[in-house]
Amino acid sequence: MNELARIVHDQVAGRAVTRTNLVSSLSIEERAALDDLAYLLQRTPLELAAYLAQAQPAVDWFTPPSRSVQLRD
Amino acid sequence: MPRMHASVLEWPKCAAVAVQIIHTVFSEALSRTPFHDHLCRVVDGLADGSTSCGSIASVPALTCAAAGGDMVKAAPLVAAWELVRLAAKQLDDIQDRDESTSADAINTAIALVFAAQLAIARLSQRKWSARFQQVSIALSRAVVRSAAGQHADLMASRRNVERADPDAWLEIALAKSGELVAWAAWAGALVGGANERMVLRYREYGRRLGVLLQLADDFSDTWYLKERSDIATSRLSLATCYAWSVTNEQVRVRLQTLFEQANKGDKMAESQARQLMIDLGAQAFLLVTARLQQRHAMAALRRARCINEVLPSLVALLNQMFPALSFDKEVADAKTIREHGCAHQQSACLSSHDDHRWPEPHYMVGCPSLAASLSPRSVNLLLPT
Repeated sequence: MNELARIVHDQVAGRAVTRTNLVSSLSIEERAALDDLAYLLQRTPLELAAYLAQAQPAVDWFTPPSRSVQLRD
Repeated sequence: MPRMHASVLEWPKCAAVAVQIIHTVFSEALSRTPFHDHLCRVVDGLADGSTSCGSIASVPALTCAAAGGDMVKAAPLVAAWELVRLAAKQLDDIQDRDESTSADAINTAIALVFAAQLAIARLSQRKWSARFQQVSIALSRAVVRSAAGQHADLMASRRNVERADPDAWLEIALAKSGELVAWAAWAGALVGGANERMVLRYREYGRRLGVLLQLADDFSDTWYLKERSDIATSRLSLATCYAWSVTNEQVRVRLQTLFEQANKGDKMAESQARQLMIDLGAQAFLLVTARLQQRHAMAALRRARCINEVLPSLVALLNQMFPALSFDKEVADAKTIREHGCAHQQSACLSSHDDHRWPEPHYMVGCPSLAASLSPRSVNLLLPT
């Protein structure tokens, strides 16, 4: 997770992340998670924040999802 | 003979039996004292029908059904799970309360944990007495491990949040939340008849679901909590662990100052700290971490060979933790083809080039409008292949 944090930070900061770096630093699952979310990670931090404000995680130990998950599209 | 399976439609019946068990446990241990009535009020949530199948409350019932068992069999587990979650919630909320209500919460939480054991003892009165001891011991272990996680969390927050890194956060989350949800998923599958190897896969599903729960909690408490956010209270969160572990000394000092000011009630400083963490990519990191946990959980489910009718409910539970992750890539790809006449291969960045910049050569090349045009969709994520 620490390496994953560094990779995400490099990407957000606009620094190049090489394949060699990805393969040597991350597990296959971590790379797959990054790949899955490339749609979202393309956005700037501000755009991502605006998107997330529309899809807030609201489920907690006692909030039934049926009441809490209301996407305001 | 074809294997019998329970339908998720049995949940209302299962929940009703669980409520009955809880009230019987209270009545047998206490006469109609004010404390008896107090405990009954605390557990009202399950009884009022607001807890739907597909909520955290239904984890033991769902894994029982997924393993081929009758959901109602898991009612003692659902009762115990409800009591343990209530106890954990009471204890967790103490940090936000004054001393007088804290004393009451501790007292209630102790009663709830022991009542959970009494609920599990109901298993010994049924045909599954052989499972009773196993389930009971496992719950005690899970509670002890969760307490160890909570202890580590409190110690890290008291020492200095900046000493914890994302790996340390994950270890704490796995213990604090993961162990409890792992027990619920494991016990349900066990009572449902899953074999030794399969129950461990359900356990892994629960562990990862527990981490997702903690992630969602951290996310909300950092960015959306108006009062006593993780920033204002200097509580350990993945966002702060990330920010401290990736940034340079200058930004760290700036963050530290903002946190100290927020701790003294400075709302402007709190808002600036939130924004600074967004700028550093903390939200992006939490999303990636959530997706990673989701992948682990879905891989465990795939290996557990669930009953088909129950699988969507278990997957939906994962998706509902982080709605932002529930976007449909196939729909997006179809949209790309429609709008740009090309379908970009998302695996290209890791397989076709020896050394390149990431993620520029990705499937978004030439489609700058796509990212902006995607909207959140509440659809099931496909199981990873």
